[in-house]
Amino acid sequence: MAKVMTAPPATLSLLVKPERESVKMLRRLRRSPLSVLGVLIVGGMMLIALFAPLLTSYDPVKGNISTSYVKAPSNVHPFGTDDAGRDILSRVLYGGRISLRIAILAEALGLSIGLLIGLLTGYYGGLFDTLLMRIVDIFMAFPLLIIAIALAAALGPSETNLIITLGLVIWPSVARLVRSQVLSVRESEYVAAARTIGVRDAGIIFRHILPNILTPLVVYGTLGVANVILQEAALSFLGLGSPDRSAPSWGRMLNDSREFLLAAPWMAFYPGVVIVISVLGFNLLGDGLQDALNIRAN
Amino acid sequence: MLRYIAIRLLQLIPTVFGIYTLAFVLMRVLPGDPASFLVGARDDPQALATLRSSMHLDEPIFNQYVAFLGNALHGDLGRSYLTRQPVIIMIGQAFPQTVVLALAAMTLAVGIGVPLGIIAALRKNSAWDNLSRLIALIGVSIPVFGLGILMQLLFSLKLKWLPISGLGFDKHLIMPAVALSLATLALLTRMTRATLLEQLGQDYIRTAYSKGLRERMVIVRHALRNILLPLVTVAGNSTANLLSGSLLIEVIFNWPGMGKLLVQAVNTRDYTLLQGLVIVFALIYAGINMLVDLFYPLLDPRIGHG
Repeated sequence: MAKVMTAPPATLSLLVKPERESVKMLRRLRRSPLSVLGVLIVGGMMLIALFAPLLTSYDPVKGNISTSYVKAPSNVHPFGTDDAGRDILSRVLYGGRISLRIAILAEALGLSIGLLIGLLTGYYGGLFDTLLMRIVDIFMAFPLLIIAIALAAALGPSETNLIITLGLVIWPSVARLVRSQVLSVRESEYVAAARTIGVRDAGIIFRHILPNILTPLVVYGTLGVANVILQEAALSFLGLGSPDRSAPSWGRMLNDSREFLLAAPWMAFYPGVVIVISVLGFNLLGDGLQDALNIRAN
Repeated sequence: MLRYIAIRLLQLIPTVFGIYTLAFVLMRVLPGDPASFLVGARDDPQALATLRSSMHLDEPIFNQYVAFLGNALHGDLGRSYLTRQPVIIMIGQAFPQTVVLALAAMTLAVGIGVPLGIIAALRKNSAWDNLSRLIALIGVSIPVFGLGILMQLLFSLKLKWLPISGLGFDKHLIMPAVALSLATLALLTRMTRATLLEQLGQDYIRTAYSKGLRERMVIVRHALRNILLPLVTVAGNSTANLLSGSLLIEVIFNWPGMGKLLVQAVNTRDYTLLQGLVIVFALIYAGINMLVDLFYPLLDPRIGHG
């Protein structure tokens, strides 16, 4: 498509319609092969999870009694079967639905809470700000996994609780990031201008401040999903995930595989590999977005 | 300098207070109360009431909180529901194993990560640089438990070089320590490379070279000094990763440390033990972060005089 563009001469640039930021960003994203790989992996994973029923004819939950007990990978079962005679390939495909759903919903929950609290504390400041930032400090005084384990144990194992747990672990750092952005944007001239023409607080926060701080959040959120996939896998691995046998997440499959490590290493291998690939995909995509948006989110 | 240390130590007080409070709150949002778990399915209201009063669960929540804080502040974290042993003793017995594992992993991470990062920065795009990229990529993508299981498959079951699990400060320690160190090693390699590259572009480095100093002198005497601060910060922050990772590693390698104890507490619903462990983990983390801060003025004299 477009050739590599260099800045046109000043006189000419007045005539050229300025490119939209999003178009520019996509073009920069395409230039890095690793980012493209990230897009492909993430997109591919989503499609596979979405179309899982079309990609496999085996039921991920009901095993085949006649082939019960583990079978090594073969033409019939490319990834082998597990201890209940269930096809591991189809469990991995269906498991993607659960693992990705939990990761994305949890990240969305954490981002929403953090965004809201960050916007309000950053904009209003005062006692409210002080109080909430102390709570953020306390949350951040705990290693994430430890607090997630305590929360998950307290709430009890279920998919919803897992999402709530992970969301509650994510929000404090998001709130801190958003707050710092709001603090710098709050004093800008366009915010002052909006205020002088009588725009109300809600309008200023959501129409004027929010769009200007979204960029780092996109990167943060993408990298965050990679992290949540790992956290979810860790919690499920420890038996704190969903207890629903019919809905195996990848971490859960890894946990189930432990007794059979010697007899059926493929039970551990394939879920492990898809976790690694999807985490890698979100990390590459996040790094690529960061370069493409030309920011340094930390 | 003394003022800086004093301020930093004082800042620890609200953190510790917060840790205790959050741990207390966490354990109170549990469905049902601890006594009902102990009495279990026997459904004996008499026994439940006796137990509740012996555990002070019938008192107002605020009184419980004050009593909990008072006890916790002088190290009494209650007794395990299961074994009736003091929680602090149980944690004390598991503590050394976790420390040994974490120290071994940290030593590996620093001992390999920093030199590799330096070589990668000095010989950009060389084979070493590519190796550092590969390690960084693997380190952020492979979950620590996945790596642990893979290593068990390869080195214990296939090659039979190393024992698959168990406690021992000999070759039992190799796999858990390596698996635990990888994420931190990757991070340190990446940070060392990035910060060193940044420093190498600075004017003072060019000045040092133009004075006729040899490369070794320029790097060791000038550049490395200036990357110490970010490196110590990253190493300190990775303690959280190490603690979380050790939890999973201890489960996989059957290593009787605090992480394994934590998982055991979750599985047996031993909530006093869980509460105590959460507190101890958070205190260790907070303590290490404070130590890192206390190191800053030593590494960079500009800090602490402001």
